[in-house]
Amino acid sequence: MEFQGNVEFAAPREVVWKIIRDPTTVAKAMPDFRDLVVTSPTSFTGSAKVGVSVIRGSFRFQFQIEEENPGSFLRLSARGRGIGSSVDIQTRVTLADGGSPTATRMEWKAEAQVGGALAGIAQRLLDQAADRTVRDIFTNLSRLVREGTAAGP
Amino acid sequence: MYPRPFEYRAVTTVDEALRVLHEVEDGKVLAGGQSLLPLMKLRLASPGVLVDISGIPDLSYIRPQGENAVEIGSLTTHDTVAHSALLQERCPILPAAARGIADQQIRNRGTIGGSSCHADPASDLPPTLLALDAEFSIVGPKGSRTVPAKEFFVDLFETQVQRDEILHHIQVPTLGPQWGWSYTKFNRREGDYPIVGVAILVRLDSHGRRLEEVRIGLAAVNPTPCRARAAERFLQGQEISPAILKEAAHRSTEGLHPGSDMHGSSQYRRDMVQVFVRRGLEEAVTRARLAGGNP
Amino acid sequence: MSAARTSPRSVAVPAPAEGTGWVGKSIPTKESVRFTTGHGSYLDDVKLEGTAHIALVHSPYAHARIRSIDVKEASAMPGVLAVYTGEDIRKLVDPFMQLAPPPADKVLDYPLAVEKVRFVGEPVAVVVARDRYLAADAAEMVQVDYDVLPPVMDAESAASPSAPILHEAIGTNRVWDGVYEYGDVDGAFAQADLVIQEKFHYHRFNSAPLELNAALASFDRRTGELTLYTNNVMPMFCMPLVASSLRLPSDRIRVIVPDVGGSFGNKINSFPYMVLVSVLSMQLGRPVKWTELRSEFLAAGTHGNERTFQIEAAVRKDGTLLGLRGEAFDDTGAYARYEPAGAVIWAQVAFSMYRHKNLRLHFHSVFTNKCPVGPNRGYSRAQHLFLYERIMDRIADRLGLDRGEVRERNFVRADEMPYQAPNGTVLDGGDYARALHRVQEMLDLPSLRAQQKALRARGRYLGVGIAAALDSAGNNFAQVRVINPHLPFSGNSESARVWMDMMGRVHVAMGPTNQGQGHETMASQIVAHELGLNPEDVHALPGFDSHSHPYTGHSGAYASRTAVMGGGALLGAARELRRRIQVIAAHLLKTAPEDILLEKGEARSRRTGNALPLSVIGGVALGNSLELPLDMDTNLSVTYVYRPPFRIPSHVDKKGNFTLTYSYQVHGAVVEVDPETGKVHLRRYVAVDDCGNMINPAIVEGQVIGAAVHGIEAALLCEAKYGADGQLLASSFTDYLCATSLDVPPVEVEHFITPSTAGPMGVRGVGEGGGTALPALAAAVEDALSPFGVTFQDSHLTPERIQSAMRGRAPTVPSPP
Repeated sequence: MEFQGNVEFAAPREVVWKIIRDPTTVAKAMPDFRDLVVTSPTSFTGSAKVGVSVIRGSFRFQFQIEEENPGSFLRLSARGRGIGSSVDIQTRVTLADGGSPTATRMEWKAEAQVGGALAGIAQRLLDQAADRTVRDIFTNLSRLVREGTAAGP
Repeated sequence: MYPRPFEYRAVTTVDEALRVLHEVEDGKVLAGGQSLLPLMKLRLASPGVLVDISGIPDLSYIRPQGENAVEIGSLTTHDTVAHSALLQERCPILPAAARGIADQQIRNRGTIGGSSCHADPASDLPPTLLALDAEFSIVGPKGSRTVPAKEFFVDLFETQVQRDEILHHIQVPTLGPQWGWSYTKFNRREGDYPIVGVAILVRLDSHGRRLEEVRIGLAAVNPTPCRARAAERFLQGQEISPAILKEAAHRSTEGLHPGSDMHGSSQYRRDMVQVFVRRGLEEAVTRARLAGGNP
Repeated sequence: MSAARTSPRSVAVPAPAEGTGWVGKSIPTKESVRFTTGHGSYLDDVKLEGTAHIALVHSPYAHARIRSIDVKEASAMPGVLAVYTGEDIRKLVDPFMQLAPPPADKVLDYPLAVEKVRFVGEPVAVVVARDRYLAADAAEMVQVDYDVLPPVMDAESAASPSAPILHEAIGTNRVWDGVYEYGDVDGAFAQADLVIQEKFHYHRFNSAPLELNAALASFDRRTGELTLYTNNVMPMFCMPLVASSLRLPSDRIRVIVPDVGGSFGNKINSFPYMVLVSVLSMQLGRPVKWTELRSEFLAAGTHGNERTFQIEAAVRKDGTLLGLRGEAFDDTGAYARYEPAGAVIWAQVAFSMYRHKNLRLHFHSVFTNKCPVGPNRGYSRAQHLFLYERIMDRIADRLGLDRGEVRERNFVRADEMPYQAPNGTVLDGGDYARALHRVQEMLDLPSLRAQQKALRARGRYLGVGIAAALDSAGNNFAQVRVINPHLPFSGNSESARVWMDMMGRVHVAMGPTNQGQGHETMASQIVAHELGLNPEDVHALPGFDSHSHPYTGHSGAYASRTAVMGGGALLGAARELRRRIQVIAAHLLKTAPEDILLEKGEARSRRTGNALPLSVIGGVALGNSLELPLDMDTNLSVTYVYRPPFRIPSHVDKKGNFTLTYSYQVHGAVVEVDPETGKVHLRRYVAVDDCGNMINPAIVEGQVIGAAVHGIEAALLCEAKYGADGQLLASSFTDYLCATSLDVPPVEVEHFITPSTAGPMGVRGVGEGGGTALPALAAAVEDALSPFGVTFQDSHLTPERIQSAMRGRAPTVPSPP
């Protein structure tokens, strides 16, 4: 399943970069995230509650920055396991200059793979649930960037 | 069944239910349990506290509200809805939809309120209630409020009913003799969740020739049960003809984003919406003409 | 074409002799009362003090390397006794013996995944806890870290050299690969008027026993004895696998099988779990129980063999099939287990019911990242029979002939029976053409055709499909030597013990387990028949216990064998007991043994009319034995082993008598297909069955109907479907759609009775003929949609598959029937 979107921020690229590159931001964007542990400069772990409404469970995630080009490109993998299932998300975020000199345009693409019990049993709802989950995460991320940039660099 | 540990609270009055829901952090209302318990069994859902409202006696009823409406208590079972003489007389589409839900054992336990609040997009009753423009009465710590059907279903498995509220009853209109209806569910096996479900209400002019009003509720094609508004608008005021119904069926897929599963791809579901909207319209029109003395 | 004839084989025991005629009567099954009133005793009903319960941790990936497993948190959970990973288990047991020849014999197969996972749902770790809930809670806390690998999801790609390898130890995905060649295939193609090329796919599905796999092991550290309760239906065949894996001498293992709630072959592959609970019990010193969840059964139980055929048929223009050649790819899933037997079992029906002589099939058994396959009603034969029936339909359609006529032209004829097929298998009687005619009559084909025509004019599409199939029973194990000449298996045998106690009561025990087919009733009927008793007065021991039941290495309830193999053993034991009773009675009644008739619970002299009740015979023989001469045999307990006269097939020419009896059936289906949705509505279903003499016709009828419904649901509803990413989509009963009574009309059954020339009592095994429904329904759907000119290559017909084949096609002018 692939999802994508874009958003423009009224802040320069280096400011936006600094926020999205921060594990704390990623953690805050995930639903009910807790136990953030930064394990290396390019990896961190923690758990989040993934799902929709009552179909929801705690997943332990390992985040790994697979590739980065500061200020412009980030590839982040999140591998989660819980409730007899796996949720693996590969995300590519590209930053580019926006419409004005101080604006940044963020494009994101996410590829999600779900395995185990959720993949089979919730099959009929998976597209829609994954779509909603991924969009919520990026909505949160955008809000966090806006809040962060509003607070000043 | 091996669910995660949970606390179980059986309540006997609405006030007690609201008090418990207010007190506990991770409460979930249990009505008939026909959707929730299978999810708990698979550990895909694990509420901390189950607040069992099935013992509240005054939430299971079907009664007239004047001449123009019927009020259905949220704990009324599908089987009761399916066999209600009052609903059969005033709002026969609802018993028809209830009769097709799963199997007899599930209809004996499952409730109209539970099904509505669970808001599975593939359930049979929600699109029917949407087509009926039903009204949902919700009670909570701040009193009660009434929400129209078009606002009630918010998102996948999400309704207007908040965590500390319960659905009290649902009101559906009396359908006059100029109304025709149909509920069609298409599935591979009797009783399964539909691949598509189509609830249709039509109101004809006195000659049975023109569509005065059309409402089309769809199941299993979007994150929530939904109405085929484009088709409804298109049909309003039209003279009935096979070409018109076919065109309406075509327009009924506008704005739909059905998911895929092993029983039907997104494309197949869109195709089936067209087939069953057309067939459902034909059936509803035939019924309206018969009822209106214009066969 | 001249048929190779064989003389009727000499049979170990002839048809039933005199007696009160219980064989052939539809008496109600004795065990059905306890099964239907909640008094059956299944594995989970066995309660042992101090039993620990397990929960398995499953792989969510189809193919991945296990990087690490962290059990710390799970081990510390309340009530948890132990957590074991595949690596832990590997140190305690030996890998399972593999049946395949090199290099696939080097596959390492353990009860839990070691190093890699190879299918979704594969167990990777096990939690043992005080109760099932705590075990399940802790299993969720086991942290497994994987490196995900690309999955291989179909057999043809798996066979390609560039495919990712499942088992690195063998360096290939091939389980077995070989060419079966009979007759002059190229000669047949040189003579052909028409060559038909086709590709067919037989989909993956299994069965839905009400009781799932389960095992309970209790190891007694004092005596070193393991008591293993299991619902495996071939437990003594599995015993060498279990004992060698556990490194236990087999005399220290007692196997108990209580009532079994259905198997359909699927419970044969449960031995990895039997070993798992056994080793856990040995480690922990307490009983350990496992009962499978439905989701586990669907993902990691047993699936039926999924097979793809690329086939060419050489045909004469009169519809005669001259030869078949091509390739078969058998998708065996991630581990071979009972496989590669499936790569030869089909050869029992290599030529189906047809007279053609020339066949070349290159058979590939291949590993894929799916659930391991194994026996499932119609094991390996239903796939092959599907191929034949679809080819017959294609021949008719291509030549503009009637589908029934083409079958009739190619059927082995009644006057050729018993008929030896070119690969050495012997069809043991029947009239295939007459069964076809009868099905056509039952369906009233002319009026159906008229109705079809009338409906088509109104845009409705009715279709009829008829298919025929063999139901082979009592396999010759030596056929596995075609696959691997070194395998120490051959023949088939079954053991039964019949004994009389000193009160004159008769007891029966035999090797096959009872999973609901009525074995206790069948055994009682045969023994009562031979000893002049009422079946009510014969006590057949329920279940199986290696301490009390006789058995051979072939024992079990599989391959429709119990009526034939068990029947032969029961008959042999009962007749020897009768002889001994006659000798004793003759002494007491002062007459000759031949003069003694056993009837109504008495031994009576035909000559004098003097009689003694059996209680007196038992009392004298066993308690008052000085009334008899010391040299008279007073042993009233007879164990008899029945062995049919099989030969060992040559693994070079792959010829031999692969099985003992061949029931056959012709099924007819009438469907209406909704051309807009692709949904198939089954309107009528008829079946003619011939399993020779029937011991209990009501039981046979139940088997025929059950098998037909199983096939119908497989054709229309059930598919163990995987996504391209290796995820199992049909992972619960929400998506694995078993038929209910609302989906299937009453199955109308008629029986022909052509006594078997091979089976004891003229009986043939029966119960796997459901495969017939798959080609019958495919044919019916094609017939319904013939104005659209669509054909189907798949055995599974979903509405979407049919609808998408119809997309963009308009019906032609109504075609002549």
